[in-house]
Amino acid sequence: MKKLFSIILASFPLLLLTMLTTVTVAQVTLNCESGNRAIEQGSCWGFGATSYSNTANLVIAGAWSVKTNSLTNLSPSSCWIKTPWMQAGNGNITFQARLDGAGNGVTSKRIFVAYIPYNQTAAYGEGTPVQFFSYDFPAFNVTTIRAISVPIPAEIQNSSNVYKFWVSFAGTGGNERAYADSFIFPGTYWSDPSNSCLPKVVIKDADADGVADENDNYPNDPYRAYNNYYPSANTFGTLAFEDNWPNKADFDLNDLVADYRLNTVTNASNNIVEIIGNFVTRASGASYRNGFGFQLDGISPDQIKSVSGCRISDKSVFTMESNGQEANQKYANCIVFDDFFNVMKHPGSGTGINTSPDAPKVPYDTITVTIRFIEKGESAPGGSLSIKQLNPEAYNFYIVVNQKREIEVHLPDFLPTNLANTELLGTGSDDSNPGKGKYYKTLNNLPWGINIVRGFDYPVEKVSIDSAYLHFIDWARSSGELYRDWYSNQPGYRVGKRIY
Amino acid sequence: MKTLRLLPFLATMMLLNSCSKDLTDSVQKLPASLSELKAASTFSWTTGKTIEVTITGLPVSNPVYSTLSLSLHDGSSLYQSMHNIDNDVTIQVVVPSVEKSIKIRFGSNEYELPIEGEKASFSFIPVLAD
Repeated sequence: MKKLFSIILASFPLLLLTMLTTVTVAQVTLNCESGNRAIEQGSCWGFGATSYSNTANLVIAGAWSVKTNSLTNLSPSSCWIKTPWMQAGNGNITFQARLDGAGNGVTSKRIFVAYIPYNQTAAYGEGTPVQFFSYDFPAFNVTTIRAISVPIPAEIQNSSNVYKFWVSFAGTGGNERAYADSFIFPGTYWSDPSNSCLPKVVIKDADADGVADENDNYPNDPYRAYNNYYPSANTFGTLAFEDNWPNKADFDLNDLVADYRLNTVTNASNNIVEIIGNFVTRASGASYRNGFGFQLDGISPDQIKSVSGCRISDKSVFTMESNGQEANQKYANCIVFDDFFNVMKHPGSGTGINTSPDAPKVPYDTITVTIRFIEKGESAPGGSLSIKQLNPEAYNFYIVVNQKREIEVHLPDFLPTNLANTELLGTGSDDSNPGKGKYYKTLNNLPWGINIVRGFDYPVEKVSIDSAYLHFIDWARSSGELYRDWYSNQPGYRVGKRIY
Repeated sequence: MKTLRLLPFLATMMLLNSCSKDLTDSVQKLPASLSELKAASTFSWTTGKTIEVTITGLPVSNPVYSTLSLSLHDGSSLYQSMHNIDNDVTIQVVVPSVEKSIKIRFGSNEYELPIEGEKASFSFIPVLAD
C-alpha cells in the first residue's frame, strides 16, 4: 500500500505536466493562408476595404496577409476586419501589422480595436462598438512589423455573452496601406454559418437525435428524422401502362393507371429507415387481371427488414417471403397488388374500370406500402443504406400481365426482374436489345408505359394518347424538349372529351 | 428582240422553280400519329428529369452541421439530410422537366439555383461583391 502511494506521489508531477500540456486554450484565429477571404467570410469573418495579398516583400507571415485599401480616412469604419461572434476568453488579443511604405509621408496611421456586443434588434445583431485600444504607427521605419498585443477588457472576459472584435485601420496624410496577419483572439467561436452568421443558439431537440425539432419531421422519434419525396411532397406522379406487350399497343395508355408518391424516411445519420409508398389506383382499361409492383434496382433483398401493406391474395401467382418481399429475386421487389380487379371492382358495364365515360365511376383506392430497412435502430442483415445510395432511377415500376408472373412490362429502358421471361424480349412488336441497353421499346422506340411526374388525366378507352393530347407527338419527336407540359390543361393542348 | 426581253423572265422562273423544288425536298413530313413516329433511342418517355446537384463545401476549423434540403421552386420538398458544411456532395433528384430552378436550404439560409441542362451547383464559399 505504501509502495503504491509512493508511486502515485512520484507520478504526480508527470500527471500535472500532462494535464497542463493537454489543456488547450480556446482561441479564434486568422492567418489568411487560405488565400481566399471568401472562405473566411463563409465562416463569418467580416472584411471592410481589405483583401488578402501575397506580395512577397510585404507579407508578414506565411504566404498571405490582410491588406487594407489606402489609409486616407481616420474613421474606424474605413478599413477593418471583424471576428465572428465569439465568447471572449481572457488574455491578450495579438496580431502583427506594418505599413507598405508606399505613401508620401506618414503623419497619422492608426489601429483601433473595439468589441461589438450582440443586440438582437440591430442590423446583423451588431450593437454599438466599444473601442478599447488604439495604436499609432510610428512615422519612421513604417514597413517594420509591429507586434500588437491588447488585453481583453475585464468587463467581457469569460462572459457568457457573445461579442465580435473589430480591428480597424485608419489614417491621413499619405497613401500607405496596412498589412496585418497572425490574429489571435482568445475565446470560443460562437457564430452559426448556417443561420446567417448569427450567434449559435442551443437547439431544441426533444428526441436528442441531433436534428433540431424545427427541422425534424419526427421530433419525438430518435429513429426517424427526415422525409424525402419522389416526385415531391405536394404532388403525385402517374404511371400509365399498356398491357399487350410484346404485341402492338393501342396507346390509350390506360390498361393500368396508378398515381404514386414515395417518401423515403431517413434518420439523423442519413440512413434509410423506410420507404412509404402511396399508390392510388385509378383505372384499368383492360380485361387482363394485371398486377403492379416495383423493383429497387441494385438494392439487395437482405437490406430489407420487411415489406407491409401490399394487397396480395391468398392464391397469388406471386411467391412472397415471410417478410413481405417477393421471393427469388436478385434485387428487392415490392408487389403493390397482385390483381387490379381485387383492388377495384368492375362496375358491371363498360370495358375495364374507369375508362369508359358511360360506365359508372369506381372510387379510387389508395394503397400504402412500407418497405422497412431499419427497425428501432437495427438494420437488416445486409447492412444499412444511405439516402445517397438510393438513386431516384432505382425505382423500377412494372406490371405483371394477366396473372402470368413471367410477363412483365416495364417503363422504357428499365430492366426486367429476374423472374421475367426474357425469351419474350425482342418478340412481337418489342425491339428490346439488352446488348444496347434497349428494353420495352418498339423498333421506332415507342414504349408500353410512361411516367408523368406531375400526374395526368389518361385517355378514354381506345383513344390513342396523341388524339387526346395534341402536343404529345411534338414532345416525343423533340425528345422532350418541346411542349414539356403537354399534359397540362391549357387552351389548344387537349381534347376534353377524349380524356377520362 | 421579243425573245431577248423574255430571257430575264424565263431565267427568273427557272430559278424560282429550282428553289421551290429544293424547299419541298428539305421539309420532312411530320408524323401525323404515333404509328408514324420514330422517337430518339435515348428518349426516356418521362416528364421528369434526374438532375445532379453539386455542392461545394466550405473549409472550416470546426464542423458545422445542419439540415440541408432541396425543394422545387414552389416549396415542395424533395430531399433532406444532415450535412456538414465542410463536405462536398452530389445529390440526385428527379424534378419535372418544366422546372428551371431548384431551391437549396441549409439551416436558415436559402438560395435558388438555376438548372442548366441536368445540373445545378452551389458553393458554400460565398461570392464576394468586390
